[in-house]
Amino acid sequence: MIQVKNVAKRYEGKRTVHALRGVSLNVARGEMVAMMGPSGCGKSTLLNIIGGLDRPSEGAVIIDGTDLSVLDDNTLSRLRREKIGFIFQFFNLLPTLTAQENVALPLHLARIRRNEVAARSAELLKTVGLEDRFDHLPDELSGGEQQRVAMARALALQPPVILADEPTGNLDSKTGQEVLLLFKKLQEQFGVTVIMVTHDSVAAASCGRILSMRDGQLVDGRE
Amino acid sequence: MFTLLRYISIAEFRRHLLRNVLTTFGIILGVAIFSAMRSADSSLGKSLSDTISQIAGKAVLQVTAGPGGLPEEVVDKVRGVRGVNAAVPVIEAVVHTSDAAQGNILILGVDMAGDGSMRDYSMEGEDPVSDPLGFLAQPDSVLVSKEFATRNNLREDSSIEVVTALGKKKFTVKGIMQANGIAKAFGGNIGVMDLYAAQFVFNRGRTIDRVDIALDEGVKIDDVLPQLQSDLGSGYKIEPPLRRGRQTESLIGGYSRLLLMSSLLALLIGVFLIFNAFSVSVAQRRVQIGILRALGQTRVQIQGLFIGESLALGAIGSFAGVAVGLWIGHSTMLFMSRVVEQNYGIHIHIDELHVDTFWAGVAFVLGVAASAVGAFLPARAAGHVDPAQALQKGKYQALFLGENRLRRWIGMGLSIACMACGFSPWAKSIQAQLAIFSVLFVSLALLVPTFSHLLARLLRGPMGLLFGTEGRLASDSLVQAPRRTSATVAALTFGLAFTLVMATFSASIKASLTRWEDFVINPDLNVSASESLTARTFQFPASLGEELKEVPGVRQVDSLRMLEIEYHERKPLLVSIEVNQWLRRSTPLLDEGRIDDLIPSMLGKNGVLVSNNFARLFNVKKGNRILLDTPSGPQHFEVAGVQVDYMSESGSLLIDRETYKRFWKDDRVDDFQLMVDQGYDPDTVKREIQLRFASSRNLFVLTNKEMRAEFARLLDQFLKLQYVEMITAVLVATLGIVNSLIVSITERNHEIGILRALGGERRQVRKAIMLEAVCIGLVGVTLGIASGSVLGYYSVASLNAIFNGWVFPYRFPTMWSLSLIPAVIVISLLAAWYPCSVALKTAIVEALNYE
Repeated sequence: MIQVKNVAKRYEGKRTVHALRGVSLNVARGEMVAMMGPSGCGKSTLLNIIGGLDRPSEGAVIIDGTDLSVLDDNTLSRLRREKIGFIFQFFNLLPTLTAQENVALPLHLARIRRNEVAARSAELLKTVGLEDRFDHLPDELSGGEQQRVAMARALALQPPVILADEPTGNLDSKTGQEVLLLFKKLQEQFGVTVIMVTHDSVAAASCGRILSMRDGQLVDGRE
Repeated sequence: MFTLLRYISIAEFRRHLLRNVLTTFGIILGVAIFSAMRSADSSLGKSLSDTISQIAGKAVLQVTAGPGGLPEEVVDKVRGVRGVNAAVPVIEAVVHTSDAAQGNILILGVDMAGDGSMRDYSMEGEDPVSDPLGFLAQPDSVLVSKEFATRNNLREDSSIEVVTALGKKKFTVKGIMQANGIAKAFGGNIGVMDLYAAQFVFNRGRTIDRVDIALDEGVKIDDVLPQLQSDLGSGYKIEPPLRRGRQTESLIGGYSRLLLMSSLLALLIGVFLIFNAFSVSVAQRRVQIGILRALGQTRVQIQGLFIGESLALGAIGSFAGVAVGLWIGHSTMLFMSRVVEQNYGIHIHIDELHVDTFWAGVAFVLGVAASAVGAFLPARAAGHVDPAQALQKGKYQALFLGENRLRRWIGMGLSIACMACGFSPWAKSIQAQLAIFSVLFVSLALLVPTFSHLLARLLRGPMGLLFGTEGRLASDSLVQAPRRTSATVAALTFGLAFTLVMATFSASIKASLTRWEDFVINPDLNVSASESLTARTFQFPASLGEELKEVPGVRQVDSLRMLEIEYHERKPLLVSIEVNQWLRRSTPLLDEGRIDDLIPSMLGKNGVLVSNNFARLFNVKKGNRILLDTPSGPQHFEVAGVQVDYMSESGSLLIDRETYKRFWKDDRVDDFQLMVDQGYDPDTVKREIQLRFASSRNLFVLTNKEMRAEFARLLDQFLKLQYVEMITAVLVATLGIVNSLIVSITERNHEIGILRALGGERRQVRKAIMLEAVCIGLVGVTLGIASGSVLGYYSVASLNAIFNGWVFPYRFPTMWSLSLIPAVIVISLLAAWYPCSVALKTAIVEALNYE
């Protein structure tokens, strides 16, 4: 499903920073993989590159047979829309949109019809247990609720891949646990491939495979 | 606080340089216009008073009797008053030279024998006037200033050609005055000639323009004034020289007021731009504020930081504004002096800008104050940032409230109150009207957020229908971000409202004057003694009328005389003409009275037809009696009717020519208005007149068509300042929307990153943002037109009436308003294009991390 081939990322500045150094990995369809490592090891950078939010300095990322490096910006955007769902540590909801409107956003971008958008977004919010929060703005929701909205949004177009960057990083342990359970449930329900960056060993333990990174390289991978 | 300013503010300023520069433009523009206007005003006033003082010399009092002049005998009467040391007659006229490069020249006709006691004539050379008797004997002798002589390469016995009532005349330079005293007046463009020669050349007959008076040492003005007034009788004005300049200064003041309004509008927009920019800045710097609070800074210190930044920005903007103001001040000054000359015939010679440091300081302070006012609310909000929330990434805090019901009700209440009060009888003073106008403006500002929100909601449906997803995203964004929308819309609304007020004025004035023109410009030919229809330098003798009647094809000759008279501290225009002849060819537009009643009450009698604005300014009606000062003493005149007339901002009074001659003892004529026999071509008659009289006098003949063209040109000149104001307002509105859109798009960097991360293509996101800019433009132009209509109606129907008595029928400037819509849409698109491109170029990851 996902192939990462010798990906490297350098940042040129006053001094060159090697965020990633020749990382290669394969993730099978339906797999749930955790990436762990100390801060600054490059795991979020790798996740961004896999998701097409950033481009590698070297190497390639192939998702479902499509090499991301040869895609132009518009095609990459469309691929992101159709094939990848993002869940961020700090939620990244639009503050001026309600919960339902945030979930509906990818559907609008995909030009889905209005009545279908309304129905699908409502259904997704029910799935994540927020049926009574449709018209709440993000600042009227708790952290756990915001993350659930973000999860519903990520699943709006039923992408085959979900990339989650520290999904429980900004939540207390109890809420984080709830979110993880929901995450697992949705992963099984929708059969998505998941790559999760996390510091949380409990979150990592819920995944089928754990990859360790250090200094921009994969150092360990265990089941 | 200075530490914070140094370490934090400077870095922030550099980081958002474009935004800060654009934000400051509003302040720069407002301060620049204010400075330019004050400098121009000050320069014109100073030049005027300098000329008056330099020409006045030792004179502490001057006796005048209006443009009709006073008889020579008055000089002896004045000399007979105790305490008067010297009294000298003066004739003063500004004339064109044949050589355009020489410019206008102010000719002073004086009694060469006695004027030395009043004015300093320091001459070049040992024998300043080498042949004094010859000077007096030759009517073409003239003294010129050294400056004029040097500039035009003149020496003794050189000649200069001047346009006079008797045609072009050559004058011979018989002496050159050194560059001090009187020779410095009128920028050095001054000539002195013998009084009697001046009477002949300028067709003054046996009259003079004024008597200059110097008093004995130790004698005060109050000691002699009562005696002078008693000896001369009524019909004479006795005042210090500088007071004569006040009327001109008040004319300039009218134009200055318009420019002042422009500068205040620009400053007001500047306040909004500052508000918008600082609101965004506070929102973006929440984490920074949280850190500072965590480090022990108090709320007040945080507020002080932002106020300090606004003061610094305001100071930079004001400094730049004053500099720009000085740069455009010269052009403003020349423009205003040209307008005053062309519209009122008053010459002010000026070529140097006088910088008034007091007003430059006031402009500076205004700019800084505007900046502080704009930043006040955002600074207060910054002080209320919750540090705990601010330091937790992902937490949102609503810093600014959107809709506010109280503000809405206050806005509506104030609007209604203003409109009700504005037309009421007790709000007749200029100050009351200006206050009401300002409050009306503020009330509309309070209503902008409500209406902008409403319009944004109304746009949702059509935008979705027309532009699909991007249209929906655009209109949704507008509705969901009321603070961002309102600030941008407000800036646009104010600018457009002001431009519409000016356009309404122009449209209403033009419509009224065009209708009036059809009535007033009805003679077939107009024969004038002066080239300009507004500046009456020369008059004809009455006898020319008889000569004109002899010209083949001339059926009727009407003698028109116009002069300003003093009436209740204003100077309305007194017009005299043969009323019976005039009514044969004219149908006055009467507001009061009947045409049939005019001849019985006016022909040879004391009936007067007053203008509509005269009636309003002085509260007179048909049947009232008014008292006018004439050279024959005070006389009562009965108002025979009120007519629509736009000849003078202080009003006009029309009387029969015989009545005028009887009381003003003046039979000179400014214009002869001719009617041509049927079958004769006016152009042919014109050529015949020019042929007959070209050699003996200077006359200007215009056909009806030419008169209308000249009228149209004068009207355009008059409206020029309005057009300048409109362009300024459009520029200000453009600045408002450009700045606001740049700021709001910059504010949305994070949002744009999220859209892109979710799979939004660049073109989708760009289209949504551009459509949002169009929506903002549409909302702004709608509110601008609506507000401008209300303010325009009020200005034309009430405010204008207070200034000059005229109430013009309201004309909505349809074409101008309609043209604003595509213009604003284009400007919005252009304004959004660049920041949108920059935002889309930002890497998604960077945008996601953008605070």
